[in-house]
Amino acid sequence: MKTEQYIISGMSCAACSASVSRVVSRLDGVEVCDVNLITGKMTVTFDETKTGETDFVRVVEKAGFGISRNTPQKQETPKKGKKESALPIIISGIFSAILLYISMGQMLFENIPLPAFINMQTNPFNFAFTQFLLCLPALFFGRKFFINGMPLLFRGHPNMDSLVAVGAGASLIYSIVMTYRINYDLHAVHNLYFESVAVVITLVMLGKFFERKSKAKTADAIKKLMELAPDTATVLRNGKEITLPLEDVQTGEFLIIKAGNSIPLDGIITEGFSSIDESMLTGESIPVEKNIGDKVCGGSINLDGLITVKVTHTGSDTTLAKIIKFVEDAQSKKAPISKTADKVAGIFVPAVIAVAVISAIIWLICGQDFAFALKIFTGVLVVACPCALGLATPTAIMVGTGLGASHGILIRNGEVLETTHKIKAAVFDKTGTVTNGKMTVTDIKSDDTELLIKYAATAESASEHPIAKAICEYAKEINIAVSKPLDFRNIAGKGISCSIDEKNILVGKSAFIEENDIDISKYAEIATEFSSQGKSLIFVAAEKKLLGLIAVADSLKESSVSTFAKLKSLGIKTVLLSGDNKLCAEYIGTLLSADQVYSEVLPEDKAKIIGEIKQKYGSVMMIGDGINDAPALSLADIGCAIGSGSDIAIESADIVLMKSDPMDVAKAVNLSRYTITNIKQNLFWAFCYNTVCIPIAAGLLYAFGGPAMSPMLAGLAMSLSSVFVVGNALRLRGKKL
Amino acid sequence: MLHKISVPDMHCENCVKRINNALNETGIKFSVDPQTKTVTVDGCEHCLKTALTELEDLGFTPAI
Repeated sequence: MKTEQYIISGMSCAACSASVSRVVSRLDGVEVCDVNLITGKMTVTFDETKTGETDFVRVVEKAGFGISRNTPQKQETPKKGKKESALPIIISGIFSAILLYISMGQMLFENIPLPAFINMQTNPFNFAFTQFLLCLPALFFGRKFFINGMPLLFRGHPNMDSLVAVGAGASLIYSIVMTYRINYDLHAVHNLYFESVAVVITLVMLGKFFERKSKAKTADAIKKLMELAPDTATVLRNGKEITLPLEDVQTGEFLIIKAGNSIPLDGIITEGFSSIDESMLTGESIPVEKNIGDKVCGGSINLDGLITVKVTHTGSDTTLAKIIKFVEDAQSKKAPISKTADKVAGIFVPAVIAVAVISAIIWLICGQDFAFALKIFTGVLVVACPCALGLATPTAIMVGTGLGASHGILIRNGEVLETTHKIKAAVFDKTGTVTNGKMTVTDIKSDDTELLIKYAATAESASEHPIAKAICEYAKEINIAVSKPLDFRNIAGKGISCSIDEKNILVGKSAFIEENDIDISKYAEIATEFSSQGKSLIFVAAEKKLLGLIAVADSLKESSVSTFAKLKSLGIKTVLLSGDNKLCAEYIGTLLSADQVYSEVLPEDKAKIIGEIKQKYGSVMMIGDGINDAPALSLADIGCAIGSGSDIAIESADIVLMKSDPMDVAKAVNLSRYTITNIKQNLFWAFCYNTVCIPIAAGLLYAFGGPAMSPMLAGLAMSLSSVFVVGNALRLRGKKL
Repeated sequence: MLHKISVPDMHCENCVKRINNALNETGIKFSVDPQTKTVTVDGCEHCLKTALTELEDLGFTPAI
């Protein structure tokens, strides 16, 4: 008997939970099944020999609910994935290269240096046997193709592995037979294909290696998210502060969070106030002032004050845990396009084998000997060995990704490159993506600008707030000396009062100035205008008289406007997404002439909006930088992270723009278009090659009195077709993005 | 031929949605009425049987 816990989603009433309970209980082997509607958790006790997770998932999903295994928020340190070594591929590669040199070198050039004991003319058997030995490493390291591919073939579901296994296997067996026959017939030495066996296996292994490497990375994103919240919390129990592991903290308990520490769980502030860095949630770099009664989220950072927090959510109910789940879900939602290749192989492989077998039989019936039939059989398999077809996509993608990398555009894998050209809409996160994500002074309205900046910068000099920093930086830029303020008082969330040059100075929001009975009507109009542009305003007053105001805003990146224009010219809709207030978002949207603007978007809604846009336009690319963008990045067809963004955004992204330049979005689209064109050319060539060469290899020309294609020629044709494909792919390197 | 199936444990919009989703996939002609807690199936005996198993799979206790 075993007890496991699952999370059920999509339940809204008691009937729902009853339904889940009923369908699971009905399974053979289930002892007890409890479903809690409120927590959304299902606890099952079952006989693990009779049923298990897959059954539960099947019936619960059939009943129309979502189900996932309940794993604690902090998972035990994820198993250190064994670092996959590239050594087998390197070894196979080296041996294949030597093999190619020995075999093809002899064929193409008369006098290449080769030790005499493996000379093709004088020591043909040694020549063949050496090749056989040289192809063993590739066979050994590539044995998976045979182990996986052959059984699948016999069961009638051949995949890419079967294709490689049959092609390489047929060449191998034929070559071994020929090696043996050298003793009887010296001409057999011309019928060796060990090199094609080794080269094909090595190349396919290389492709698979890259594919696996990129897949392994996706799991890291979730690990990073989990590391955001601390492992322990300081809890107030019976008047004492004790440090407990997070799992032991109950809702309703009080946590003490010191300045500089991250907040472990979701809760409400009951004592103290502080600035909280919520950038993990909102992507906004500006800390939020929080007071008693305000909500705080696990994973955010308490910047300056000591606060007491009453826990409202623990475990998998916290906002952070939900974001983690979002990323997990979103990642699992991606359909692997790579299956298409296997699908093609599913038709291609049996067809080729059928052609090979049928043509061999026909030749036998027509009175040819067995050797000839075998020659035809192998010839067809070798000539159709999926080299060109298999190389068409990966080579173009390899060159394409390389070209991207040289432009600072990192592309996660080939599928991404394939999908990018299809996007119909590009969704940009505002802060940090189209803007610099850093506050700068944009406007100053005053009769005495210098004095205004001097007072403001002096008053704000002690603060770490981004707005304060912007003002101080501006003062530095225009060379205004900052003195030390006296009687300094920071009124949280409002402003600063201090005395400078024996004058009473007030710096802060309009409400703060007005509270102190200072008339702000002089600048009221301009203030409204600035506010409507989403700018933050800082008023400065001296001796109860308003001096003026400073407008601070996050500035647009230089290339943002041209990027939006460029995307439009490529026929891609542009959408702006922002957690900011409507005014600010709309203003930026107009500047960029975005097709659509979503403002005041909550982190968890970002992914939902992506879904909406997907339905409206089709394929969607999301460009963002914050941790809060991670779910949306994963859910979008193409997630594109700005390089200066958070690690998690980068890791859940398909494309990373290292230069943080939005213009690279358009470049990535171009890159994808070029690559796809190249792939199409390659596929077209490979397809033509196969339609022409297979019949020839099958003996079509020979039937009409022409020459028969020996497997050797078939091998050469195959190699040439590969060279052509690779050559075409290399042309991509010269493209301007 | 109309068959009325009573589904007493249909409570909320979500239940209705789940039934709709499941039965839509079978291609049966049907309608769901949450007020009277009934599912009406338009079709043969076979359709009725499919609908009943579908509803049971959803975790309801349907009765004719």
